[in-house]
Amino acid sequence: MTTMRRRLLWTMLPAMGALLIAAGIGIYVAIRSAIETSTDAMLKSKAIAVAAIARSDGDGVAIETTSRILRDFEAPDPADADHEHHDEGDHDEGDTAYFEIWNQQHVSLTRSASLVSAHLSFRSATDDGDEADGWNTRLPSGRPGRAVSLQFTPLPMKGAPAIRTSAVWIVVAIDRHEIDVTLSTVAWVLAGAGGVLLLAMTLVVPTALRRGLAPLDTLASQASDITATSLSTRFAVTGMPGELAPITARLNELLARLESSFERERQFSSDLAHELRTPIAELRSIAEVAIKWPDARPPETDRESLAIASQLDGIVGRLLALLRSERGQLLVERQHVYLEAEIDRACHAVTARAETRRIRIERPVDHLQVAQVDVVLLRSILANLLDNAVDYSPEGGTVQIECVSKSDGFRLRVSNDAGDLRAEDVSKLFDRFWRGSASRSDHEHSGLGLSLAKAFAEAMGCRLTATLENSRITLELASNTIDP
Amino acid sequence: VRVLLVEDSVRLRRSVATALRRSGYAVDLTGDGDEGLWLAESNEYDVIVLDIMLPGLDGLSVLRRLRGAGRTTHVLLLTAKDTVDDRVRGLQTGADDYLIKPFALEELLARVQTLCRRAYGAKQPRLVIGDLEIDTIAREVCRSGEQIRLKPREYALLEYLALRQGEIVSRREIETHIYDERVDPMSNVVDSAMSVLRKRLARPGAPPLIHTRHGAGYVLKADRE
Repeated sequence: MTTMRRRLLWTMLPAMGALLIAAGIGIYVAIRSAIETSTDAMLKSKAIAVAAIARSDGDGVAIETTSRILRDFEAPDPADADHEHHDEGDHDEGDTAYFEIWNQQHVSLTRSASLVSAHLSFRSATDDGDEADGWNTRLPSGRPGRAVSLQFTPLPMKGAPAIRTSAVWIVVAIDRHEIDVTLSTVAWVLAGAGGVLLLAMTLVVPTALRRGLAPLDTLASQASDITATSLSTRFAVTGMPGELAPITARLNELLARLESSFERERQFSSDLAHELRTPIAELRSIAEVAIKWPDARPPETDRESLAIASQLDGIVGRLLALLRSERGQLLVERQHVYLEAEIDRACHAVTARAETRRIRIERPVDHLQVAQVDVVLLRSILANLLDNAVDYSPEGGTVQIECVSKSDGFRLRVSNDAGDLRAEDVSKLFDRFWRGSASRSDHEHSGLGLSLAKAFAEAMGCRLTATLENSRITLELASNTIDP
Repeated sequence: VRVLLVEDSVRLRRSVATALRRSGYAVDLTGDGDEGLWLAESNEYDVIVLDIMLPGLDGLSVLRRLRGAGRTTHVLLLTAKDTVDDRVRGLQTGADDYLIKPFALEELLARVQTLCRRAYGAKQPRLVIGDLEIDTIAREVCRSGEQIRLKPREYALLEYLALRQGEIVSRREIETHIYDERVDPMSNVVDSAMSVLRKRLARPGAPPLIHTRHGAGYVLKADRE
């Protein structure tokens, strides 16, 4: 598995290694160039010094042999020369400098004693005039050397008649063994330091990454512990780095939402089971009694069984409708609907029941109130509201229906005496399977009616609200467009 | 043996009551928690079958108040709630047993019977009085190995006497435990039931098992007076 840590490691380590190597090379090149520049300057000053003591007699050039300057250019001690390849010998030869002077025709005019019978290789100063530029050369002894060249016009020899002296070339060289030793030491030190750094990095970087990414590990291990049954756990926000804190906060919010929706679903399933269990228990016990004691079978058994089946059918049908509306699968067809006509129709369905309970229904008298709604959904909502009003209002009470229709929408109110409905019950009215305690045992109401009515109202762009005032409960269906 | 059934579903109440009565129990019914509590406090029941979801006072509150008043009547909780929490809460409140809806009537009857037996300290389902054997599970009665057929009410009377064998059982107690509120307390129903039961148990040459203590009641025991 590609982990973030591994990816960072495999990006960082080669990048840092390459940077280290580049830095090492840079440092080495800078040091070499500094050493060579200073060596070249030293050679140049030697060349100038030699030039100062060179005297021309027209054709040849002679050097004042007594000059102290020439001490550097003396031939190496033969005793030391035997030990040329020994360590001590290196020093002497390393200190020895060489020069040779050529005329313009590249004919060697003179050379230092240190050269004995050998020659330096000739090379004129570069054409761009930067005469300080030295070059690497091979000394007559076969060892590598460093050389610079200079063109100068020697003074005429003392006592000689004033002659016109011509320019000559001088090449001054020294053994570059010392430079090479210094440079190779520098190179080794750099390589060593680089290697140690690289090694240290391979040890430090993973640890640093592990430390730095530890909050992620914590988050991951906390996340892996979360299951559908442990949604109440929350990620610790304190101590989280700035980058993870918002993620953790979002995750916690997500968990909270999940938990509440799981809780709702669990509650719903439990309620559903409860609602279905009682009718099933009834059906089962009726059948068992009828089988075991056929003579005890009351005449209403079959009617009862049918009633239970219809009740179960009703619960299942309403649940499906609720599910569909929650999933937005309800087909909503808005059309012009005359509200009074629909109210009349709904009232008609409950008239008989209202009369038995001596309940008076007051409905609006002015006509031609029009609303843009889905007539099927509206009928279902109205039937529900009136069923509840008639069944739950205390005997002898009044059910009042009002409706207002304006250009921006409509408002329809059904109110009745609240009876024993308490203020805290109002918020539960729309809960699935909620029924007032007194009516829980009746078979007519499944406790799904109002939640279904609310879902239907929302599906057609309306709201259904309940208010309890002056011990009257009012349910209001209103278009979302109308002012509350 | 008298049972109180508190259940808010009319249909369930009706069929469970039928089943209990047909099995020889005296059954009192109510669909309301408050009334259930009042009945339980004012009568001597052997078992109370109590629904949890009730209008008015809920089943657990009824149970709590009953236990608070020092009543130890055996209570079988009946409910559609099936989570472990619900069951534990029910048992912790003082219920003796728990049955989840929907249930088999047979199971309800068996559990009620077990609770009845326990009400009299008997754990054995088989009661033996001399040569009389009562199998409380099969509800069968044998005397000297010969089976005796009894009607449910007669069986209930015999079982009640057998559960309290050797004790004097008053007529009032029999009325309370064997007959429900549907029976007129002024009738001599106990006397006539007792004489029928004596006839059924009688075997030629065998000593009578039911003895009358005048002014006190009846005793079921094997030894001759």
